Amino acid sequence: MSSILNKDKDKKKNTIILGIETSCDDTCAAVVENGQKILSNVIASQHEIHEKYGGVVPEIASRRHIEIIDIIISEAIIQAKISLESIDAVSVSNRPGLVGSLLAGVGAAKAISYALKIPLIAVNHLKAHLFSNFLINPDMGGGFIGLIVSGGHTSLYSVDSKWNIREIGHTLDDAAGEAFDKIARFLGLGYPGGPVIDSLAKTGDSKKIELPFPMIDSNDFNFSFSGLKTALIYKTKKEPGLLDRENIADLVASFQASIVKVLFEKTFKACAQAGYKKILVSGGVAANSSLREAFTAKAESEDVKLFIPPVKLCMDNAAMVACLGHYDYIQKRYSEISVDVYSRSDI
Amino acid sequence: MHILGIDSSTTEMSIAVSRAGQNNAGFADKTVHIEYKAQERFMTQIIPLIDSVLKKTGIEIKSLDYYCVNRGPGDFTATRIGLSVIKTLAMIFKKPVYAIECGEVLTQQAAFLNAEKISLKIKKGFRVFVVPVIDVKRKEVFFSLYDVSINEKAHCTGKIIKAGNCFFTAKISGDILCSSADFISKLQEFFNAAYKKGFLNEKHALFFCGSAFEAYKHLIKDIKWAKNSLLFPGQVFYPQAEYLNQCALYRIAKKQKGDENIKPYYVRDFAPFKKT
Repeated sequence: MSSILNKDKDKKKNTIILGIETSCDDTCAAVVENGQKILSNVIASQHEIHEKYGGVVPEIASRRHIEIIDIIISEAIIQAKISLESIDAVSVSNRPGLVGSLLAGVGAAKAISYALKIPLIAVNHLKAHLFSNFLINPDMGGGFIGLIVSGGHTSLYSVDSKWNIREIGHTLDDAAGEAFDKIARFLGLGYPGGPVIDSLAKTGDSKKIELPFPMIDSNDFNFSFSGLKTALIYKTKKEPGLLDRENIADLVASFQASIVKVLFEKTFKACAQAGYKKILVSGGVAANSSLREAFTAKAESEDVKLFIPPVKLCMDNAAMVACLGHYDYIQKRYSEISVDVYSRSDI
Repeated sequence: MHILGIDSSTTEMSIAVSRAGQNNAGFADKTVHIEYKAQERFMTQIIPLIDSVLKKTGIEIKSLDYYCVNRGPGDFTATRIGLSVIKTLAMIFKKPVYAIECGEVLTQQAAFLNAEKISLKIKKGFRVFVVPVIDVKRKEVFFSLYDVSINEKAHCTGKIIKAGNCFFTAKISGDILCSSADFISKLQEFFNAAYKKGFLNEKHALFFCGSAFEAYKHLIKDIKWAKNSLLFPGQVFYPQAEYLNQCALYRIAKKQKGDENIKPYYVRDFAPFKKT
């Protein structure tokens, strides 16, 4: 695969890939040229719909996807200013994710593939997150540790120079983003929890309130955030004063700092152990400003090159799906039209 | 003029391509129809089945003029599979799409498959109604009342009903959701109201169909207004795409526009849990 990821000197024509992503609660479609140039990247967020439940409700997400999927795809094609005939392939996330949500995107992608007589490329959503960085740094190459951290996933991957991807760790319970959402809900701060806690934590002192750093010294690269959440809840039960307005910022700052520290300690440890000098972070939680700062600082001190895509590309989006689709397309790794959707999947 | 219809609202999926007959008179003169029974594999088989129907019909997908889909009520996930494909095809080819309710498809189907018996009743001056009763899970059923004896001469070559063509149906009342246990009493209540409004009288005939009907067959016989007026000629439990197409062709003949922003017909709002 490495030869493909390097610049292809024999490239005859530009590839135009339409990407579709509906694995969770965002309905996304994008058009990407040559796996790099984003011609359009449309994201219809459902945050407001799920806000009152404090988390993504699968049936509601499925209902929303099916209402707007055709409109979002049409919008992506219009914004890209391309004709239907110029699309070379349609790429779609078919795993892992919420089955009802995935079906909306995969059904639409199959219809497009069949209607336009172009290849269908079903991709792994998590692998697409790893590829989101290629939209910004197409020459990054392999040989790095990748951390994907979002509301649904927290996993570490070792990616060798030939782009063989191996999962080396994952969360044993809640994903980091899920922990943010649950704590935000517990504290009545709103949804999604990540951005709310991120901005509130800026006014707090992360050292004032002591919280554990779960599994930080474990000998593997797995994570666990459920216990941290419980620790915070017990702490506030013992000391109800922590829930007072003047203490909330300190509380969430500590909570966030604990998650961020565990994430970067494990990621850099994995990087050192593998002998790599590159780290990639993606996923919705990679939008967290404290995480970005901490990773940047640590990368500088350890002389590791850090790649974190811009916030819009860290979150769920279809540009990353189209980007990964591009690399599969030029290798002719097409999917059967009978491809299914899967709630769980290895990368 | 050709229409592609997908019905994936129940445990059986069917796909049909129909050619409109007699200058778009509202019914098909040729239909190719395929059924598929494994619901858990709808997503994997939907495109191969469309392809197979089109190949049998001998036309290209881009030559289709209209699309239609059964929007339920039915199985949520299965219904959405049909919708995602149909909506996207219509979007790509910029063609109108008609979203038809499950009850209407069942009514069309029941009337079509029992055309002679129903025709006879209508000729004798009876008003014929179809009552689709749909199993919507969670021990609930959904029913409506459709009139199939409407005079639509303009579209039907001089005859009210021409066997082999189509029935013009109109939902006159209903869309009632009730628990399975309450079904018979709700139906009685519903018929009492229909009688007061003048829909039911001494000269009416009732035809039941739908996925939930079989279980109640023996009880329905004893309901007032249903007694002596039931027609039990053929069994129609699951909607089929060829009758779905028929419903859409009727709309097209009446110059009705396609539907926009279509979504499944959900019989209940989704309220997952209370905010903690």
